[in-house]
Amino acid sequence: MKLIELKNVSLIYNKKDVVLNNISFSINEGEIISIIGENGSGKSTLGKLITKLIEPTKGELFFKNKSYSISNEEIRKNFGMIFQNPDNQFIGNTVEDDVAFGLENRCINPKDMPKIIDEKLNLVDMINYKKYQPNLLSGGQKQRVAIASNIALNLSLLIFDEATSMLDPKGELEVSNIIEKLKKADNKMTLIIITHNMEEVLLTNRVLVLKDQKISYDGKPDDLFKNEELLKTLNINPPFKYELVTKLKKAGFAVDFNDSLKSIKDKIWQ
Amino acid sequence: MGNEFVFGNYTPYNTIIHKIDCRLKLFFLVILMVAVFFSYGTFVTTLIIDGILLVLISIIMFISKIKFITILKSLKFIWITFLFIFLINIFLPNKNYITIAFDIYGYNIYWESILQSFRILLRLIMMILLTVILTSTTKSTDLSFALEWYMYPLKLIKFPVSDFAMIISLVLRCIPLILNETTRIKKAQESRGANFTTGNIFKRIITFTSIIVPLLLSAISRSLDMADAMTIRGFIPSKKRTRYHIYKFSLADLFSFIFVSGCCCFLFYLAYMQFDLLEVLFNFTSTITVLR
Ligand SMILES: Nc1ncnc2c1ncn2[C@@H]1O[C@H](COP(=O)(O)OP(=O)(O)OP(=O)(O)O)[C@@H](O)[C@H]1O
Ligand SMILES: [Mg+2]
Repeated sequence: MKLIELKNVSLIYNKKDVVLNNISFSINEGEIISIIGENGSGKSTLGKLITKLIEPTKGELFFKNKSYSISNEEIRKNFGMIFQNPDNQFIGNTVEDDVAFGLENRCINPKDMPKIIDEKLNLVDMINYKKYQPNLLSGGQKQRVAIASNIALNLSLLIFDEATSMLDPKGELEVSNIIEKLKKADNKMTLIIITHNMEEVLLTNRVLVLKDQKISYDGKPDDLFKNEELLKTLNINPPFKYELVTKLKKAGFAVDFNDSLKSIKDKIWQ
Repeated sequence: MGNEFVFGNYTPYNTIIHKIDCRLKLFFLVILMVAVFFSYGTFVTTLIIDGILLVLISIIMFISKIKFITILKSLKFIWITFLFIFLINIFLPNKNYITIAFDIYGYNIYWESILQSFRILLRLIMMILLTVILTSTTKSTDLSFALEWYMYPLKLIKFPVSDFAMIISLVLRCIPLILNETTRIKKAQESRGANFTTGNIFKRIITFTSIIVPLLLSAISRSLDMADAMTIRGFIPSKKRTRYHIYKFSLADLFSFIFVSGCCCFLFYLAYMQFDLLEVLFNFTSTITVLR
């Protein structure tokens, strides 16, 4: 079933800067999607449009076939978003307060809060830091708290807007582990991962490439990364493994995209 | 971000002072500040009472595990202001002063003015210490709750009390972030050749703008980001929210209330009567001698 649908959506800033031009696509329930594109291509803008932090200049958005706007509180309750800067989304004074912030806004009974908070902090492995203040946490830990704070609100769609780009490799790994966990969870949350990191694209089943104010590619990441021509026109560097295999193939090695790195190594040694 | 001590930042200990209800602590801060501000008759009496207050404050600081040294260190940048205030008060002429201490090329400096400046400085330091005690033993969320609680009557005149409290709590939350940002920008500008330590005052002011402008820009973009993050989690200004923390007065709160307000009432009484404490003590001892 369609969760989100965009019909002929355009976004123009200051009446002249076209960021998105007449975009239409839809997202099914439970899909895991990544969005890539160069700096300033409008990825964040697209994310904010879907969650209705901003309104489109033209076009309409639908949630489960119902048109919605900024004022539709009931529908917007289904959306969450993790932003790039870990410090700017830590609202509470401590980890538990931060998770509670959203619950307080939703007028959840305070008696039910501790259970929800513990459950979500457990999910992101931050339960031992419950009483910690943000200045004692690493970037990766803060992002995990942000994830917990968002999913505590029973979302049907969660958008990661370059959530790992300010993190070190360890933090990146922590966050992508949580994404893996969310994929496996049984409530089938729809995930949109906006990223510059091609390895993260491999976590998803579908990738949208934003270029020239349009969606220039919409399909499986695997198909995109195997297609050298397309990668060149879209100006994308594929993940390490795909690059390696493509080059080895050209050099005449009998390797395949499905091989593991280890078997590729063995084949080179032969 | 390191975990360096930021002036007045909350310290997560579990002392009695930490446990006292935030609303009471705010009340104590106010009445103690009033007590610090009063004048108690003669210079000597006032100085004695200031001394007692200082001892009281030190005891509270000791209990709440605030280190005096760290405060002194983080007050580094205020020392100049202190010195300035001290000197101004010494040189300020006042007709009532009579006891000359020094004569600097015909300009008289009186003992009274020296004592007076000393007293003003002491008051300032005590008020800072009191504030530090409050902020380092109370979480910013609790503090904003306490403010909101006292401002509750303002709701009658449609003042947006809860929004105001949210603003306060966000400001308190952002102070350490902005301090960090300042050091970062300062280092960045220094590495480009900006010089913040030498040069005359005008030059320094100009170099200082090279910190202020980027700082303002980053603060604006931070606030926009925060607004998005809050909106996405369902925050709507002035809308009713529930509260995760439940605040209740405890027995310890009652005792602390009796103790602090008792002390303050006594001090207020002294201030009202304007005793000369030395004379009172002298009379008292002589009465005892007479009785003997
Ligand atoms: N509030 C605004 N007013 C005017 N222009 C804006 C505004 N927000 C974004 N833009 C412009 O819209 C374009 C798209 O911005 P957006 O942040 O969506 O890009 P992005 O793909 O997320 O880039 P990045 O990879 O750097 O995050 C940029 O050119 C930006 O300058
Ligand atoms: Mg962006």
